[in-house]
Amino acid sequence: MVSAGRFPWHVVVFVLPGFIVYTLFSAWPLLDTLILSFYDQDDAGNRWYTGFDNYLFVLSDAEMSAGFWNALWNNFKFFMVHVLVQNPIGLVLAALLSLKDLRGARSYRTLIFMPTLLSVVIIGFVWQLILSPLWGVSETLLDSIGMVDYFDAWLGKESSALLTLALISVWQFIGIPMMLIYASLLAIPEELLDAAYVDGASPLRIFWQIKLPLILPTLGLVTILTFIGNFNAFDLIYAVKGALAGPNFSTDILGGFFYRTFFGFQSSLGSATLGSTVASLMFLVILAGVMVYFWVVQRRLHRYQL
Amino acid sequence: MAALTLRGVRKVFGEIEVLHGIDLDVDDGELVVFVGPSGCGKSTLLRVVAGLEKLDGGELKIGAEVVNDLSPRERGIAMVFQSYALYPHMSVYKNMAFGLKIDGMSSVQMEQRIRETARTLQLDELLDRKPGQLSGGQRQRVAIGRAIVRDPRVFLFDEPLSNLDAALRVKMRIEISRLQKSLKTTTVYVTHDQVEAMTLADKIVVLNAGKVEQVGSPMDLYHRPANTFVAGFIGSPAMNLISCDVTRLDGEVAELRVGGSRVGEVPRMGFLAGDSVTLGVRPEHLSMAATEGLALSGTLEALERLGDITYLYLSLADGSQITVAEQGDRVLDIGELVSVYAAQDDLHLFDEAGQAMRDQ
Amino acid sequence: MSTKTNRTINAGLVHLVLVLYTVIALFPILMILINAFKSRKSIFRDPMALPTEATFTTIGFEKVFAKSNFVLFFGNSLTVTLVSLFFVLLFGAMMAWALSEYDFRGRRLLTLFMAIGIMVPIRLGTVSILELMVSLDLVNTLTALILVYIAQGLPLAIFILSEYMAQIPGELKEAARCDDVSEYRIFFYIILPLTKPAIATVAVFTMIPIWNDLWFPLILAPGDQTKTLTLGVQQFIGQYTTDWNSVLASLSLAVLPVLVMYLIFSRQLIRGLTSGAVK
Repeated sequence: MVSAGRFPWHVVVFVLPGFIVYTLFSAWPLLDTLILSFYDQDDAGNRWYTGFDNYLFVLSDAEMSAGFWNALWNNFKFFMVHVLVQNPIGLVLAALLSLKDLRGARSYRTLIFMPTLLSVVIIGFVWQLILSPLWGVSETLLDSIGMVDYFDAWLGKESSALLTLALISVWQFIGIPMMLIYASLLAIPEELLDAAYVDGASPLRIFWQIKLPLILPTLGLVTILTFIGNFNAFDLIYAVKGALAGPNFSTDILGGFFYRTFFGFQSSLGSATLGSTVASLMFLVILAGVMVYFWVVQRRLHRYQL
Repeated sequence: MAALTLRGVRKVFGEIEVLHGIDLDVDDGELVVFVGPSGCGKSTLLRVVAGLEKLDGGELKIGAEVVNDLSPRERGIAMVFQSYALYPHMSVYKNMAFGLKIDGMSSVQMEQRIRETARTLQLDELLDRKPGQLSGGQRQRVAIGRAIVRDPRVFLFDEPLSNLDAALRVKMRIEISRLQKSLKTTTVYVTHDQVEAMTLADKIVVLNAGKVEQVGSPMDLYHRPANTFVAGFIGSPAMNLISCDVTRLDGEVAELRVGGSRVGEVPRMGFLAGDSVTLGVRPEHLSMAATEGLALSGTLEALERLGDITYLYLSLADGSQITVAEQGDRVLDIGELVSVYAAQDDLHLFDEAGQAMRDQ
Repeated sequence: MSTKTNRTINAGLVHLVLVLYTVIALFPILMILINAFKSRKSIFRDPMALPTEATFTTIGFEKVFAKSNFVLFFGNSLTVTLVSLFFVLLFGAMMAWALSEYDFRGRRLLTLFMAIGIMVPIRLGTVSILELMVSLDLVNTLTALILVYIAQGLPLAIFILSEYMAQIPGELKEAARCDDVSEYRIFFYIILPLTKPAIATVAVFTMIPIWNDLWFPLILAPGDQTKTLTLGVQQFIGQYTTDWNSVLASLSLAVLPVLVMYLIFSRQLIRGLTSGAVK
């Protein structure tokens, strides 16, 4: 709709401000980080190209690679807890909320979504207090349902700290999958469910054979969003465990590893170039996840026109 | 196959009663059409019959069995929805098999039934397709096939043709009629389209505001509407309903006037001088050519020439408007004074409550 | 055998599950809010009890206000969030309009370029962002945070807004063009008002992560004058871990503004989540 011959200045005016800010402070830094990962630098700040040396160093140096693989593996576990706990619970809550004629659906929705809005930092502290053996709230609660023997300082133990943190994260973010799934359940036409009911299907059969297949694309979307979120998560573990992700790095994930590599910790100095390398590796992990999503998941999960 | 009996069927949504005690008998093998303006409760009534909405009062019988508390499957009904409601992730075959599988039918028998049904509906080629790959008409046929394959006692259709274009609608209408005649399954069909109602129905149920206004064969409703609502609803263009005063009684006849001018005499049907009555006459029963019977004259306000038929819009002495359908192409000047006549047999009279008055 | 029980699963059971989960979702937050107003002794003796006249105290809050620059941090958070939000919405809407309305060369490439920002977290560019801010002399300024947050928020804003704008009927702007109204006026006086519902949704989505962020405040603006509330609370709690009154009070102070905002905007947010976000 641009009048021929005249240069469309208005398009430039509309595009330019956003383009500049985005390019300068998001796109360029991302690219620059990738470039920087191929450089080394000395204390004076001089930089030179080193090829894949940084990557080789991160992936093969005894200490660095141990840290990296540990963080990657922990991150993977962190993600798997989300997939295995968050998606099913989110699905159940959404399925219940979307039931026809449910009273108070709006209040449930509003309340269950609440934790999602709070800062991860705040949530981390809140749970730290709740789970603290010092305060004893959890102990008392478990006692009241006769399970006090199971109580432990979960956040403090190497064996359970990561799982506990992942569950806290699930607790906080369950609102998002719940809402996305809820929305896609509501999008299923009422008549379709009526038809299945007329065909004699029970509520459970309608859920498994009609609703679930139709919302699979949403579950895929939720999973990839969770993946991206998890693989650059940082705040929760930093708030609860600090940069060292204790005990003994058992809760370290890539975000924290990146932070330490960049800024240094205890005796080791930080390095911008090595930090870039770790960031680039994180980028590759996320990219791989997104590719898997697009090439495998999305191709298989057909979105049906409802 | 079975008859369907409704006795005092009531339905309430929250505070609002949408069905006020419906009584109805549908004979075995009959095709009954529920028709009425939107919001009249016709779809709700169908959903009550289906078992998708529970009854809040009254009794619903299929055959001899009271089915108030039975699920749709236990009632033995099958339904075709307005949006077709095909399962988008299943092939046509699986769509048709879904209910049969729940019924516990063996796969051999199922396959045979589905293929058979597919043949009658010319769906053979489409069995492996998903609904998304079908045209509107094909989807419609699949929806019908999914209902037929269940071999139900009662078929329910909820405005099934409203999503099709005009040409396809006529075609499918004929096909549904043919199918129902050959299957002889008791059928309830909901529509807001009176042409569909007239052409398909053995019996039409006219609903208005949650009540049955009249039940009867299509021609019954056309020739003997029970009240002004049915009179105005059945027939297109709608029947002219003219308020008249009974000015003089003369033995067996009564004289009617509209806004002071005499329009003619009608048989006296127990009314008194000074009564107000509503005179009903269909546009196609008014004619400029005739010279006797009831006469109405008015100024020509507008003219629509369709070639085979010409519609005249006249404004009468009291300002009310009437429509006249003249056969053939007529040319007249706007503003001209036109007189039209109607035969006695084609007149309908309604009392002040809108109920038809009949010769005694 | 009745239709009711056949059709819907037992309503009581459904409510039981939902109530149970709602309790799980709210319990920790309630515990903090309740105990923030209790004396240290009763925090420990009876954590589940509501504050009574005997146990009520605001000592924690007093300490927080005395020992930290809470008001300043709150102001910083508010400034950063609102200014970033304003520009994300303005620039985002302008760009979304350009991308959805005008057919210019490189449009698809530009759309793709912006979409990268949805998939790739901006945090991965932190090393470069910090160096850039150092060279621009913006470290420890709110401006640094604002710039980064605008860049962070734009892609999703553009994505949601352009989807929405594409649905605005063409006749509206064509009519305006016939009257020779300038493209700028069309955008500001016709399109922008029509886009309000989507803008509100984007606003909520943009605001929350900015208000809650720890990473960039920690790296770009950790100075005493530029701390945001999230960072301030994080560091305050790190210092006073054993002072439970202060810790609980500071957590409550951090939670409350968000809760209040949420209660005001929850309907908008949920509508946004259940409509625009599905695509």
